Amino acid sequence: MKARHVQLIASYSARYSVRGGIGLVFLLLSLTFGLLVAHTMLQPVEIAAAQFAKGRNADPARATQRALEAITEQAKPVVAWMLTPSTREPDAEAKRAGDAWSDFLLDDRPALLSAIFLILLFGWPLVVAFGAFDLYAGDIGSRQLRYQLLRVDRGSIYFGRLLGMVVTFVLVLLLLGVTVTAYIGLKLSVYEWPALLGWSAYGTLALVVVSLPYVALCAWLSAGFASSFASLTIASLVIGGVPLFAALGGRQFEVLGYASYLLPWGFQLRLFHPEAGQVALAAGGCLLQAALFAWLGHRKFTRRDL
Amino acid sequence: MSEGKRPGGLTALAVLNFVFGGLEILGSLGMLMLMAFLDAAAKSGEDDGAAEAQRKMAEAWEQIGLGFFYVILIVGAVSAILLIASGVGYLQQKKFLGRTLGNSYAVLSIGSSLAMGMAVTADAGGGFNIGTLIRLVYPVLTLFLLNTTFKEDFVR
Repeated sequence: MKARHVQLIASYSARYSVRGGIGLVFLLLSLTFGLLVAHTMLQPVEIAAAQFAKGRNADPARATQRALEAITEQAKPVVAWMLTPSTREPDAEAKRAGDAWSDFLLDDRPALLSAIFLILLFGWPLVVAFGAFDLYAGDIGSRQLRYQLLRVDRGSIYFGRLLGMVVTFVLVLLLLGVTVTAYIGLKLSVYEWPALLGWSAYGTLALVVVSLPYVALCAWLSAGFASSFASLTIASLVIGGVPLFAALGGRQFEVLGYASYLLPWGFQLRLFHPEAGQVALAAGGCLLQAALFAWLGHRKFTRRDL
Repeated sequence: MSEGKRPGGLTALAVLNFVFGGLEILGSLGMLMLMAFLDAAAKSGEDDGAAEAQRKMAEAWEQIGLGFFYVILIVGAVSAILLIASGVGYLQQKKFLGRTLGNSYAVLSIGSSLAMGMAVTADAGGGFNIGTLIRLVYPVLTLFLLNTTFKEDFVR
């Protein structure tokens, strides 16, 4: 494997993925999904602020602030419940931890951004499947990789395309982060710019870190199938099925609930935890799983018939 | 780019054009129906919540001017025609039918979305919000791709 080849393939893969069609659909899907999530969170605040401003003749920024406070108060118990460790009967300590976590996200940090990031965290892994399912499967099926193998080794192709896909994800997430932050900062004017920019950069980085294991998983699955459709189906089923299986199975037998740790689902939320140690563990888990799936994919890709 | 070699992305863009063109036609029909509803609501004497909201909307449109409403309606219909025509142009890789009409759609759509966001109030169903940005995603993407990624693919 040569670094120069990996870099070259990554650059072409990122630049020309849109030409293939799948990249174009992914771009449209991911941008629309991200903005739709932001719209779902921001619209109630804007409607409530407009009503408040009309009713009390308040200035728009103050009205938005009041509407945001009212909505945050209502949402806090739900967020605290979401963040409380999911045992059958959470004790008082677990509930206190959940409350402290929700206070951190909704009071200490820009609440609107926190809410958007939390929802994105649950939906983004499924979007990842639509972007990364065809890293190799289509070309394996059509036997087109044989022409590249005359010039480069399998490892360079594998890691080059994987790196190109990661770069695409980083660019899309950056674009989303900048758009949503600029909108909140310029239109709503309820947060200080340094706090908004800082939390936005952190959230975008957290989403990038969460994307890595899912992209690597898609790469592994894509290397294992000679059909794009099969790769997409299996990737979507695995990514969506693991939390579903853990949630349903965990109700019957508590041990089955731990199945969510097979993917970052079980711990990815802790990337937004107030304690640095928890964040480091979650980030470490994501990187470890990314490395494991990437290694398994490389093993499969370098041994199979192309 | 050799003649006849159409990239998959251009085919996907054509399919999306047909889908969004169909939606644009439905949107224009919806606007026509909205006009009829608003007209009926303005004349009705009912005072329930829904009629009140429709009356407010009718008043807001009267303030903006009904001429602007018809402009939006016509722009929607023209956008639909441009989307479908340029979709056919993408498939045939034609310079005028594909690239020129595709660019025209993108510019028209960006302009009308921004005008809706700035000139139409929230009461009338407009206003600049994240929804406006969502509406901008496809035309901006079209404008970008037609002039960079697929620039050399319109060979006929």
